[in-house]
Amino acid sequence: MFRRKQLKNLSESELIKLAKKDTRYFEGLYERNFEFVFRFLYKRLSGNEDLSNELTQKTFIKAMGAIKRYEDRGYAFSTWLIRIAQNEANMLFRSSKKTVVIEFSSSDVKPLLSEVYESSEFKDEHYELLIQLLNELPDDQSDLVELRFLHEMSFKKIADIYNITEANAKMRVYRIIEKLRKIGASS
Amino acid sequence: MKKYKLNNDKKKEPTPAQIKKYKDFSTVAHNYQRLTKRPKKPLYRDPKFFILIILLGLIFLLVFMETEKEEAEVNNDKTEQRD
Repeated sequence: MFRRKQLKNLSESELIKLAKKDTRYFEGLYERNFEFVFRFLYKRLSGNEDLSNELTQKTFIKAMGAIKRYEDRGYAFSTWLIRIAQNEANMLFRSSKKTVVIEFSSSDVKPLLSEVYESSEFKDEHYELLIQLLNELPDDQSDLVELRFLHEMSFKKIADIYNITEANAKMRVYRIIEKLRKIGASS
Repeated sequence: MKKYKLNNDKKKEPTPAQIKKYKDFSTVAHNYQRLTKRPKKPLYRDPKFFILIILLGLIFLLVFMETEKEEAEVNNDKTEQRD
């Protein structure tokens, strides 16, 4: 492929500059970020291999088309890709006639349960109730819960994805936890 | 629409083999080229094709004019013979 050895020696910002002029240089960015994007979508789509592959392809095609408009604001390039991947997944959820199931395991949910109930001992009903509450959240809020608890992302990474400050990301997540706490207490 | 579900047997991470299987930049590049390729130029905007159409038109016009002229001459001869 296109000067593969040469691409390996270039830094990410150098590759971005070159890819803006010639999309063949995008291969270097693809090679470095494919796994991260594929893993993200694979987790989000509960291990649906084909769908994860399809959305990963769409994400990189969109990124290739938009690379000229990409501005380096000091965030990792992968966060920009995750933002595109998240939009692609949300578009799929909205357009799909079938319901797309996102699976959480008990271990994924446990940190969120500890925050909501401020305890460490839980029964099966607690898990079921929390999943029920998550299903009632608006999409923008459930997306944040997914990033923090399903993908175990740091507040810094979440802040970079949403292009907000770390404090703002923390505040948004804690507001959702507070909301879940209130609904959980009343039900 | 999306729906959350609790499943303790869910697949957690893709295997290295799955990652290797789907990592293919040439397919992405090909699909990108296909999506961004300029539409084919319509035939009438091709200068060579345009000149060909003009030439064919001129030939048809000349043939038509020539046949009209011949018919007119034949008609004139007939009327002269009657007189």
